[in-house]
Amino acid sequence: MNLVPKIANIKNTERDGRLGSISFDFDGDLKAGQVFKIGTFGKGETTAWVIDAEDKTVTVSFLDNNPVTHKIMLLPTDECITVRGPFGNGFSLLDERNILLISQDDGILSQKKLINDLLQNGNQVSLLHFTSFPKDIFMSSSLKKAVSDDSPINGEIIDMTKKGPQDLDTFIKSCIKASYTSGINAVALSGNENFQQSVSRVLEKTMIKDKSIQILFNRNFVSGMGWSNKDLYGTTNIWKEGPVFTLDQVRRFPGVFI
Amino acid sequence: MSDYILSKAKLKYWLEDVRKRNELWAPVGSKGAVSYLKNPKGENVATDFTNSLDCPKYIFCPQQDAICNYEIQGRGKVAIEEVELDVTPRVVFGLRPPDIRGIEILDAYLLKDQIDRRYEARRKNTINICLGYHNPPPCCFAESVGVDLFPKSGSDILLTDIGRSYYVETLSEKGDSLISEHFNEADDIVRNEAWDIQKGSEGKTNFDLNLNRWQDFTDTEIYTLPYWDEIYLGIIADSVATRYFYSGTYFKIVDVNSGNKGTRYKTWTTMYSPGFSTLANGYDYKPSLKEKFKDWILEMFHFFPKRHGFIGCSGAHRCIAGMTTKHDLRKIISNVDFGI
Repeated sequence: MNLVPKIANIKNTERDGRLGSISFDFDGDLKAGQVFKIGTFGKGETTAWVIDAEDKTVTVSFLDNNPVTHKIMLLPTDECITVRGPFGNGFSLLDERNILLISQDDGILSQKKLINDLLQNGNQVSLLHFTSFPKDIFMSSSLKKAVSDDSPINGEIIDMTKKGPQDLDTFIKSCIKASYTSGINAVALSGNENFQQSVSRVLEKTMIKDKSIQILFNRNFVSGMGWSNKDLYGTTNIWKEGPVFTLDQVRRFPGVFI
Repeated sequence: MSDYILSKAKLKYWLEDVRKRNELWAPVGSKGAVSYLKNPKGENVATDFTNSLDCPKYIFCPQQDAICNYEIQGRGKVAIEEVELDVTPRVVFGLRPPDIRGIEILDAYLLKDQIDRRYEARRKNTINICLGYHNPPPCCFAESVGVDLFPKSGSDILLTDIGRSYYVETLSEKGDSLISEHFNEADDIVRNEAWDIQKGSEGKTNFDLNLNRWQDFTDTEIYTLPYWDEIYLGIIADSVATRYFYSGTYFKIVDVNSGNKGTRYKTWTTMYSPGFSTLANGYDYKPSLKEKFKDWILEMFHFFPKRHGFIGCSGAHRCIAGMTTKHDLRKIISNVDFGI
């Protein structure tokens, strides 16, 4: 692995609440769920998710919550950033007909490109986005547009603060109605692990096969090198083989995921 | 390969010769506090120690490994210059058998799935001289984890202390290249003497870790044993621990700059470091010390062997003598309660 970064010039910078996005030149195929390590010299690197790629320009998005992202968001157009990647296998759902996308909070970053790709490909898309911050939803304008009445997507944004005293499993079960899961061929799931666990427990009771449920298991997917203990989960090198795994693969991971 | 005899009196002269042509790393210090230093004088090299204080992984994989230099030349202009691979001819003298295993562990991490070219260059240009373990410390459990006290592989030269001299076995062509006029041909008397010492040491560090019991359980069964819920109590989560063991290391990228110039480094630390398991969104997937300690143990004794075919622990006893735990790791492993 080459740790020497490439230099890219920023074409555009955008802020959406706590999210930052930048665009730069990149020639190559990209999938939703892949990441770049972007950075600035003097500050280091951070992980950014591919949210859009067309006309040899890629747009990546990240949570603006550390010194590296703070610095990047202050950089003007044409200024340099360091880029390594893309890394990861990404979601592979274009061949499926009816697809359910489930995300939690910033998990939507990994699915943004997927939504566009699926719609362009003519797939039937359902979308459930769970938010812990109803007043500051990640990508709120895009999400609200996606689940509006005139959108081809069947979906809704679910306020997780309304969970109340009930446990997460019960809450998730009440939110994922049968209308969302009937006729579904494949699922893309991203979010924190306890959320993924609860959703998986609901989905395993439906007709959807484990092999058709793709989970973004982005734990152990942050080092950007692939050889440290941080990249390993049991015998699986997440950096090399992931971060998207099917539910039946995740079941074989040691521990208490499901 | 060949065998020789080297008088202890001539050792320092040989090392001086080696130092003239190579970068020499050798143990320096007294019994309790030995470290591998660069280019020490031959007469200062320690040979009567059991283990160095910290594991010598920094020779092959420096804690601050420069990747590239950069200069910000103005808006939108940055010049990057890759730091050339380190191909300095290097000799590491006096590695103890657990550290030979340690280097094999590093090889598994850094040369298999994703190749670290900087590490690879250093390994290719380094000659390792192993000092056989005729004097393992009492808490060492090297043989328990499959380490040979006089390993015939993993190093280029093996020295066996036979009193006034060393019995020298060259194990590779690189090892042969270091043989000089200070060495004499070995004869059968010396060979037998060395063989007796090597055989006599067998079993000195063979503590029964009961690892064969682990084979009867699945990954998940082992991972979820209630045993781990209690055993971590008393562990000292210390970033300094990174100096004591080979597994449990993680890498990250750090920039150090001065004005408009700087250097990007690859650094390593341990899984006990703050923020090790925190994702960019702040979610910590291993929030407790229990999880980190369990992961470290299972990585060494369960998952690493599954991936690479040998135990990911050097058995050097540093974690017992060092700072990572108040407990004895040997007892933690051998007493795993499977509930049967």
